[in-house]
This record gives sequence, C-alpha cells and structure tokens, in this order.
Amino acid sequence: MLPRAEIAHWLFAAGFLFFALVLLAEAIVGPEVFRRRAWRAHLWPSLMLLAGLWLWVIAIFSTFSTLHLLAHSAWAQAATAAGAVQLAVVRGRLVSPYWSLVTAAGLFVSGSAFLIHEQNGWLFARSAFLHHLIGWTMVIAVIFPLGAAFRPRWPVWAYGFAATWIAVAVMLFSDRDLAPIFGHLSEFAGGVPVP
Amino acid sequence: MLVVEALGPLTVLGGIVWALAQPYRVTFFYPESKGLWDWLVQPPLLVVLVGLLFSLVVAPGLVDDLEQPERERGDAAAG
Repeated sequence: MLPRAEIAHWLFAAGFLFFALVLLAEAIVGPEVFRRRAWRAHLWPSLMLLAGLWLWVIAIFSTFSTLHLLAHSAWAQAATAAGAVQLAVVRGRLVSPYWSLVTAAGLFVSGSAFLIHEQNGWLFARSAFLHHLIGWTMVIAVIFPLGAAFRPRWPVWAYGFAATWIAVAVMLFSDRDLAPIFGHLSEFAGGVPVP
Repeated sequence: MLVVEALGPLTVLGGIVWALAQPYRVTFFYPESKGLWDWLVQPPLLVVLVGLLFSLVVAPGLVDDLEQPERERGDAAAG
C-alpha cells in the first residue's frame, strides 16, 4: 500500500527538519568543534546522500507522470551528487571551498524542477502554491552555498543554508494533497464539482 | 552552549503547540476512517520526534565538546 503524496512530503519534511537542526548546530558551534567527532562530521553529508537515495525510490513510484518522474530523478541526482561531494570534503579528499558549488547546483536543479513540474498557477490549490514557493525558495537559497564557495569564512552562509531547510520543512509540513490556499481552491482542483 | 541545548526542546515545544493548534493533524484525536499511513505519519508528532532525536543524539556530545576546552583551561589554571 503506497502512501499518499502528502504523507511522503511530511516524511521528507521531518528529515529536512532534522537536517536543518544539524546544520544550525554546526553554524552555531563552528565546523571545528562540530567535526571533532567523526560520526557528527559525516552526519549531514550522509543525510543528504540518504535523501538522494530516497528520492530515487520516490522516482521509481512516480511513473504516473513523465514530468514527475523527470523532476524526482533530477532531485535524486542532485542530492546524491551534493551528498557524495560533501562526504569527500569532510573526509579530506576534497579541500577546495569551490566544491560548495556542487551543492549550489544541486539546490538550483531542485528548485527549477519544483517550478517546472508544477503545471498549475500559484492559487490553484495549496499543493500548487507550495510547489511554487518551495521552488523559488530553493532557487534564491542558491546564494548560500555560492557564498560559501567564494567567501567561506562568513558564517552567514551556514545560517542561511540551515534556515532554508527549516523553511522547506515548514512548507512541506503545510502541504495537503487537496486544500485551499488563502481560502481559494480552483474548481478544477477537485474541490468544487465542475458544472 | 545554551542555544545548542535549546534547539531540541524548542522543536519539541513547536510540535506540541502545533498539535494543540491543529488537533485534526493528529490521528489520535480524530481516528475516524484513518488508514495505516495516517497512524504512522502524524506531522506534529514527527516534529516532536525530530526534536527528541536531536536532543538525545546530537546535542549532548556537542555540549561536551564545547565544555571540554573550558575544563582543560580550568585544569591548567588549577595545576
């Protein structure tokens, strides 16, 4: 028995919230203290890699629409690549701060996929609204890993990246398969029978 | 240090406040015609769970590591 889309979104929201708390803790104490224990250093890159693997599972079950299949596969690829690169960074295999550009690219691909695969307008239904909002949030949040690549010593990038995932988690928790947004629900969304 | 310790409890509090504000998002309060997934995945309870996980698994070690240099400085001063 497959879960409804909103259930899958809430599960990802919980994962992203934990991910955000870990990122926020690292931003507060600084990477030096945070990475003092090996398991903790590997925690958030592993979570990102795990999210990528889970998104592949979601992609497998998203065959009801080519657009959803492509979008989920793009996210899966982006998250897997970003997680793998960050794992190599914490293991010391990659040292340049410019590797943060892979995370930036992953975030941009994910945000674009959210925007492209939502075919309805902002106020069609809550899920459509949230797809647009999450997409634009991710596209704008690209500034944080980009900043980390070019100005790695500025802590604002780490705080911003963590805040982005808290925002994404809140948005995903707000998602419902069928619900109005600001009191509006298109008659084509299924809320009101089409005459 | 206090901020790191507060992250988990604040998240738990957020989940409890959400459950009280929107009890219909918790299947335990509205069990009628709910399926297995609704029982397994209840958003406010997931938030509480995440807060607990962070408090119990990540925060204690971080606080220890933050206290360690202070302890070492204290030991050096005493020695």
